[in-house]
Amino acid sequence: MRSVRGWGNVEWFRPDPSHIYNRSTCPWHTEYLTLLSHAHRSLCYFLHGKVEDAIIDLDAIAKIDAADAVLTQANQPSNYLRLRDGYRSGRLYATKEELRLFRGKQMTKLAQAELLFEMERWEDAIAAYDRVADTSMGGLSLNAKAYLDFARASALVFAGKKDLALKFTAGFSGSNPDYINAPSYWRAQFLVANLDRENESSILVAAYQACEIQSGKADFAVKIGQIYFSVRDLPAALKWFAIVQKHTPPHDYRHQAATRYLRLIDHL
Amino acid sequence: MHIRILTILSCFLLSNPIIGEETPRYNIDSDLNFSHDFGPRLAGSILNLDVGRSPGVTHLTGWVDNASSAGWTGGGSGLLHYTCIIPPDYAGVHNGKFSGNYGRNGSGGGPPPEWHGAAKAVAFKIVHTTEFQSPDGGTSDRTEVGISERVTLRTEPELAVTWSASQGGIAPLAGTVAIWKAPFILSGPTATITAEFQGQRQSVEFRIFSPLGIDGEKLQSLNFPNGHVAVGMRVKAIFQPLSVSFGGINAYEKFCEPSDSTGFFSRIAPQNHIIDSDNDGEHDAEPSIQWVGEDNAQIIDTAFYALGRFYQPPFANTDGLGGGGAFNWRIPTHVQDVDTAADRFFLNFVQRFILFFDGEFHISKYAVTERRRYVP
Repeated sequence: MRSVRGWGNVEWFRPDPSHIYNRSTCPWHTEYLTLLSHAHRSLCYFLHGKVEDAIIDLDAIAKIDAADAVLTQANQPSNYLRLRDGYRSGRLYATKEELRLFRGKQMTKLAQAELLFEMERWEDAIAAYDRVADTSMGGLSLNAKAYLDFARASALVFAGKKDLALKFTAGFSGSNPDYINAPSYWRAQFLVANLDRENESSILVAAYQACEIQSGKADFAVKIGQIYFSVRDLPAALKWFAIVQKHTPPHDYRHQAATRYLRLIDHL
Repeated sequence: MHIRILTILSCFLLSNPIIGEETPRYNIDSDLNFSHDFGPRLAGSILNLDVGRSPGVTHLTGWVDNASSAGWTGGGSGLLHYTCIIPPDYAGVHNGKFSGNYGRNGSGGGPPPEWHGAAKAVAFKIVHTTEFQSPDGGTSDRTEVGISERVTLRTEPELAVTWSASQGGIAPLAGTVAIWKAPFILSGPTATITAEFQGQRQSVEFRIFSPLGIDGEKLQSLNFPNGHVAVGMRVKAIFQPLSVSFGGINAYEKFCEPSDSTGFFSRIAPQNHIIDSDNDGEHDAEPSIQWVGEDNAQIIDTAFYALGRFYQPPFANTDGLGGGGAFNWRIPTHVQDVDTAADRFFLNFVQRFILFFDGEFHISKYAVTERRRYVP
């Protein structure tokens, strides 16, 4: 059901319309359906607030998907851990606040798309987000539309389709963005910056300056410092990592990372 | 696409190497598709990776497809530097991957060839499990513990690490699993447990509680024959706070003389508090040392006082207090470490008796009161 590509990433099976898939033609087909059933039931439990039941259903991923089990065992980013930790903190790719923007059938459809996103089935997730938009865009609030655009653009970037992502980030960029008050606005700035390589750092600096949330400011400062560090503009990197230290307490992982960068810069 | 066995052409350290922060390098086009595993890293660690050119490669560009704040950053042209921070919720991130184009001498027309890279790490953390659940139903991964409480330590993923503790005992000092025992005598309110793996340290801080007090729960009133002036009860001693387990300690009471006597008891001196664990009315030679219990509530105390038939009401008003009298036992209570029998004073618990004019007798202990009316 998943194959390992030459460069280490694992890709999901995508059915070829010219083939028939069943248990006779495909040895893992039954297991694949079992995995999907459990994953969807876990999502239902999550939506009903039964988090521990939802996590029990996720066990099917660990049992059936050997590639994911290896990652989970090693505590590396995996579908199982991503969903489990997400359920426990009341979120999927959408934060708690973003999930609250959707109601009823919109929510059900969105949750299906989110499940696919969190399992890194990018193409399926994009199609599922499109279905939410096609069937209910008219009935969605501006903030819900903002999240939907952000999620679609994110999935497209992860799928390597950056050109297609640009039309979904339009509401988050420019001098007077439509989505400036949406909960997704600040996290979308990382995406907007990633899509505009030439202006990546200036977009993030502007976001840093405009953002009034301390933790958000720290996230922007970290990313800006990393960008300067990776192009070996060390004085600029030094300045931004020092800013990170100012915005975060010493036990914060970003503070610790900034300290490590500053130590590394001293040695370069 | 076939899977290649990858080789790192060069893995060089920065001019002054810092443990755990070396920068591996891959060269395009020797390594067209690579996947690098950094191994265990802590939250707050940074990963660095360089991508350079093999001889014959004329230009190289690279980028990261990453829509989020977490995951990889970097790219550009020439020698490509990538960097990443391990967040605490690393297992839940979408990591991003890097890729790019390159050219080489003599390459023909058409789109430039691509290269792709992936890199990962394992977030290393301490997993701690207390021997007992706390009586308030807290989970066993709590970071508040009672004195002498045991905690099993592991790492996730499982690694052979070196363990150390700022106070309390830890054994073994190296390995995949260790037991930390919270100190019996505290040198401070917290203890820091550290696991070290290949120069990286992960710590967890525990707040340690001595017993703060005892709450009582009356289990039973004691019966006495008619005509006796007496009162007594069996009371469960519940050690506080309930957010930790005192399953690592014992407790016992010591002898004391009566104090604060008034009225009847200032004329007729009350008896001393004696240790009578078998309730036979005789003074035991040794104190009755009892396990506080994993639920902090295994000690059952029998508290009573009997004047018997020798004194009968009415108890005259001799000092203007309305008759009767009162006295206290301020009972020295000690705690002990279950394993080492190390011993220390805990508190003087007041057991108070009040006798009324008409023979009604009250006893109070651990904030529980028993009242018995006199029956001729």
